Amino acid sequence: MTSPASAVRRAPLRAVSGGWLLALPALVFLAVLFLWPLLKMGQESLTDGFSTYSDVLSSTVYRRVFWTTAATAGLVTSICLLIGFPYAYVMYRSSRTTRTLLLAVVLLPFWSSLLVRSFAWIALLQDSGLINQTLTGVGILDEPLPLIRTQLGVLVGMVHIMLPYMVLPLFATMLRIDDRLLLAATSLGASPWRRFVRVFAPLSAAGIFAGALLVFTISLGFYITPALLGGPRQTMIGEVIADEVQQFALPTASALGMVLLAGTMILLGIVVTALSRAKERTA
Amino acid sequence: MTTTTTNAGNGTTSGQLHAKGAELRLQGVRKSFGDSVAVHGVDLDLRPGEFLTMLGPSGSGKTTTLNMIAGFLEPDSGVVTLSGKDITHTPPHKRDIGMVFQNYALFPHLSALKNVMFPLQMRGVDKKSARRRAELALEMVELSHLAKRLPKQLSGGQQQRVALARAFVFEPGLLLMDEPLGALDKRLRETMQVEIMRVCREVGSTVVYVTHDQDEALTMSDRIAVYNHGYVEQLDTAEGLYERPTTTFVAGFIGDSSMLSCQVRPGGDVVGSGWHTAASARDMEPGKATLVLRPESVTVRADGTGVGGCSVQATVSDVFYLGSHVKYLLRTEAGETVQAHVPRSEAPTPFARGASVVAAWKPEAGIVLAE
Repeated sequence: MTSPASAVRRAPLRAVSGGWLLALPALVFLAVLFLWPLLKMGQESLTDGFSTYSDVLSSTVYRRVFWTTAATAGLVTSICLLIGFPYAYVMYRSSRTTRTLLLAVVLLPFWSSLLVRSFAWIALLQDSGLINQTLTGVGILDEPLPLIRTQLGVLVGMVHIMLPYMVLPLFATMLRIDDRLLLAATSLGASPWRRFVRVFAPLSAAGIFAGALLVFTISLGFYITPALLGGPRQTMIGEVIADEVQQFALPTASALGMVLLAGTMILLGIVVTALSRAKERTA
Repeated sequence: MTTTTTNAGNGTTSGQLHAKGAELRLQGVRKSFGDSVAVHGVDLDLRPGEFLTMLGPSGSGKTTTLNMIAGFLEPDSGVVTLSGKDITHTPPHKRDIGMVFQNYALFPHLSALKNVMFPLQMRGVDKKSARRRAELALEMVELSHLAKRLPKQLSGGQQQRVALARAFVFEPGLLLMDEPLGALDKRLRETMQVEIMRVCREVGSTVVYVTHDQDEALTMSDRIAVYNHGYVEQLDTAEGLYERPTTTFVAGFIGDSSMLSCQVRPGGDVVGSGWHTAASARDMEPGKATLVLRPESVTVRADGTGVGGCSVQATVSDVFYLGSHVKYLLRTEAGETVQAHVPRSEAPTPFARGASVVAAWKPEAGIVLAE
């Protein structure tokens, strides 16, 4: 038995001289294929000076799209957390076999193409699609439900795609929770519910944060799914940028990209600060 | 200022936490996992405030018994009562039993103080008085100055103190400790033994302590239950276990001992290979038996002259100088080993290895156990 303090600690890499060289291929890759294009994009956005930015930021259309994008990503993240947490918890509490099965189910979307899945959702959700035909067929509805070209359609499609990104980090974090802490909480008088609230949930916080971060940031850049399943009111920033590029308005497209990037980073900064404050308060 | 929220706690006025020791009784408690029986009908009876240690090798059923008292396991049969109340099927969070775990099981996201406040808050104590009582508990384990630290910022011994404070802060009638010192090094373990005893005495709870370390058991306990293969082999004080073991397992597990096989004859004469005692086992059935000798009751002499009691011819197979005494391993002619501890003052010139000697003991020092 080692004390928890010393249990998970690795030998520092700097003991191996030049150990950082191992990261070099990835660093080069990122520098050439990410950092450089990013700088070029920044440069491109400034072709006409800052006027592009003032146009972009003052346009009500773009502002609405930015808002839709953030709101959609936020909603997708919340829904993923709401259904992903119980799912991960059930996985954590299950036997090996059940666990593998549940894992396979949640990973299934990963194994098929995003495009195929979005079209499959169209087939299911459209007015003449499977769901509406069934519902009208058995006489529950007279008119088809507006499932596609709506916010609902976008959310269903996106949550379906993003769920694994929430479940996997949550499950990984839960697996690392020491069972004995839960026993200890029980022996100290915590009912199952309070044990969950005071011990299990806080100890899953890292997974919640990692999952939410992944889902939210990836959702911000969604393009195909809202284009296929949403209506004009569900247009997200990715679609707008694509439009601008197709119209050769590269400075505008670049400026939109930069604003998205800056906005995301500011938002994340606020969230991280708030979370670490909260952590200090509970400790 | 008093708080009277816990049922066991009787509040504090003197800046001390104090519990009313509970009476714990186990009757025929049995537990099996599949085909293997972990605990065969165990009976235990603890007086209020008693410190009982369950001692035994790993897998002997002591931790299983503890888990049934804590409520983590339900016995297959038998009854557990605490202060006269049947708690056999009470869920663990409603038992009001404090528990210290082997790895401390401190909540890593909570500071030492919040960890200690936890059980109070679970009992609906308001935050302010929970805080005050937790501070008091930390003071009792001399850790007030580290109240704000997270568990990972504390050493093993300090974490242990927090775990202890957290277990008694709600003044439970019964404290359970599952090898609480197992993760500490020897020196720290000895300090903590004294510390745990002091705190337990101050708090006044009844204590059930699990360990596989016999020194720990002998040092700390009022009584010791020696476990082997799911049975309590013997339940007695440290002195009783050492002086009057009832099985060869207990004799071998508690302290050093030599075991010589022998026969009990009708009339109580005990005859071994190369030795015998007259009428020392008068109340025993005739048959095969074992003579248990504690090393300090064996003397080593050059020859048999002037030996009043029992003796056996042997050769010295090893000699060890242990400061206060000399330890001999002797080999009898029948090939059995006898251990002797001779005080340095009585052995100014110790026998050398290979020397032919006589091992002698008083008849009443030998413990005869039937097989």
